[in-house]
Amino acid sequence: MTTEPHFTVEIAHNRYLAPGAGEIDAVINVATTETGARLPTAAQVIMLDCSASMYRPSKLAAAKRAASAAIDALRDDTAFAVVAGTDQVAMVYPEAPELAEVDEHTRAAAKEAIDAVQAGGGTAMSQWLQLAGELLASSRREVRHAILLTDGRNTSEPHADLANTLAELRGAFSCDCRGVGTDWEVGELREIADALLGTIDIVAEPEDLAADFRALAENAMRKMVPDVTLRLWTPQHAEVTMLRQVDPTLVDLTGHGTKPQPQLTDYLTGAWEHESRAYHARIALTPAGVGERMLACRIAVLDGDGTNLGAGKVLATWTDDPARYGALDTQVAHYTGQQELAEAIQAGLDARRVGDLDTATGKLGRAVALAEESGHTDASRLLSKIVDIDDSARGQVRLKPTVTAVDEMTLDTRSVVTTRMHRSAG
Amino acid sequence: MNGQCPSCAEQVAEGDMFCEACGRRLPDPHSATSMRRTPVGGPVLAPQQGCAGCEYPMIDDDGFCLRCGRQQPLARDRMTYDLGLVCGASDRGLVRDHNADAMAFGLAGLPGRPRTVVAAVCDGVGSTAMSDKAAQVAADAAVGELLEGAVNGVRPRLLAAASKAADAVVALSDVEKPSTTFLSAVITAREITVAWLGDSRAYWIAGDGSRGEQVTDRSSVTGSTCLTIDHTARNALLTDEASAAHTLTRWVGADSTDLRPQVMTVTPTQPGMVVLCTDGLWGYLKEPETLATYILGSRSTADAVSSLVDAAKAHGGRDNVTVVAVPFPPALERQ
Repeated sequence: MTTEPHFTVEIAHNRYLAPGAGEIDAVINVATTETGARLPTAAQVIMLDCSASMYRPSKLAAAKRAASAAIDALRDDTAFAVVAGTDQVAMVYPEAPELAEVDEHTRAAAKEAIDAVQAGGGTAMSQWLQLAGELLASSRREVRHAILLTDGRNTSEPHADLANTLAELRGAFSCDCRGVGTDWEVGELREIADALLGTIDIVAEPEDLAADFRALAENAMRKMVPDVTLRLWTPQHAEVTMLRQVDPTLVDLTGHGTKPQPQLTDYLTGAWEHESRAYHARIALTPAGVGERMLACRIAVLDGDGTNLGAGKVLATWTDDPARYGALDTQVAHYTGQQELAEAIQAGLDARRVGDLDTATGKLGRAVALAEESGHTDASRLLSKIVDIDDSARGQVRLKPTVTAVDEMTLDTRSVVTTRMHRSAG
Repeated sequence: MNGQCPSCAEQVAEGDMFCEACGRRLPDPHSATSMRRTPVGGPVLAPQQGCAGCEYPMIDDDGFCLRCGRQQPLARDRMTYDLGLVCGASDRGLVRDHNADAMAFGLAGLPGRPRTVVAAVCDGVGSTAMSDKAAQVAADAAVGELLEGAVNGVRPRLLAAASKAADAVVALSDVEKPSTTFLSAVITAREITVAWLGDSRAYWIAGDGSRGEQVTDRSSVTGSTCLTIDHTARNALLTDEASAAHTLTRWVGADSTDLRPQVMTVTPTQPGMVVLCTDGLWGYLKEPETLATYILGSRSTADAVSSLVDAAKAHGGRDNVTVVAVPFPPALERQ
């Protein structure tokens, strides 16, 4: 007998609205509870960038070691494949366009095939992703995970090809993206990771790749519940105007919901291990009278079969008491601050790149203040490599005259990593 | 038990639908107007045809409409009882989450010709869910004692009712220490006796609209006046935030130090109306002559209590509001 996994859903919000107000914000904390459920079946595809730039010996060799480390971390019976991406895409292992099952023999054979890979050619990531999508779809495994490694920009195809492919593949599998070196484009990989519900990170030193890949494969093996959907019910004439994952990382899901019925919006969240995530929802409502109580949103956590695994409610009450409707919920305030922090970092770095130093100084200063205020020590540390800080609380900073590409890209990449609320900060 | 026809006073048997003498239809023993006392425990939500907001028929288990999301009114949100001789209305107001006011009342005397009305109004203290229970059990216990108790005499019985109310509140929980204000009244054809702890009030409203002076115990009363002048209660309007933060010094509950209510008996010199209310009403409408304008302008006792409750809500409804009204002398209204 297996038991159904269970999710807890906790809502943080100020349910009091001013007379005539029609917008309510809530933080939805969703967590899996440990269960005795069997682990779902899994499939793993590793996409290695084999374009000409990877030829620098340290990079390609490190990528090969990393792919082998990931394969070692896969459970027996996991379906897997390794593909080589250039301006085209080719199977590395197995030879035929299908997945192999992990066992002693296939592990050894895959590593041998990986060793033989040569670099050469351009970069057309949509082709890599399409092949990964086909392989994973044919596997019929419950957890479908991919790792994409690149060292460069997606220069061999128009951007529309990548965007169209991502739109098609949304929900088909999840994909963690890793950039090695500093010649790749943060925005490009972030687009892939966001669409495919994966993480993004920079691996500046090729020798760190193996540990990172192993960790990614291990994470995939820990997934307990595949294909989890958040279903938001809203009243008639109401709508979800924003839904963002805000913890552990920022992912904007607004606009990626589907509507199975008029008052329901479904958002794919991928596979879950024993973990917790937080979402920031904003609902536009038709205001009711003072003293009226309304269910503004009902949240249901569904598995791939539509079974309800957990639920929560966002209530709204209209009042003319300013002390009630004026109060800001601490979690909503905290995660609003985390979103502003990420936006300030990204806007500051963008301005710095185009030489708008005033804007860059202002935005990055604001980021320093927000990071300090929320106790986001990682963000504070990464910001201190880009700016000299005169007064962190007030956000008074000066741009450093020289900044390494690694430091800049690391700050940019990690800007979407949020911190939880620290009690001491409030 | 047998009774009398309310029209001709002929003896009628239990279960008769029509009077054998005059042929009038007898009151249905299950209808509101023939109910002898308000239901113990307070109201239960009547099954509804659909959402109170949009009429959609499907409501979820927590009372939210599955189409418009509106929460259906809870039974305690708006309670109304009409026993003919006495009517009451209690409302959550526009700000509070729960209605922690409660009321109970009943008729003593022969069925069809009751001579005495007993009533209790309580205002649960604090914001816990326990406060509405405290108010309800106190009001029910008091009315039960007033209707069925063994103590002789109106004033001793009112003291016994306060004691029973306190016992009921204390029995609820020794952890949360629930408590409530307490006001009860016995209205006979001759006099009005009220007993109170805390800031719920009783008013005498003169039928001729005249304004009265403050009265003393065991005196006659002519013009409209407040019968429960409590020197410990606040003397402030709820709209004034600063002075509304008051300390209640007398109440019914586990940590109450003084459980002996103040008592006042008055003998009206003309017909009128007795009004029992919580501070949710008098915080907005304090002057007896203001209450009188609502009451004297109403077509019925039921209209009078509704109009007063609605007036408190129109003024802001920051607190629960409860009003019970009894015409003096107690007499069935013309049907």
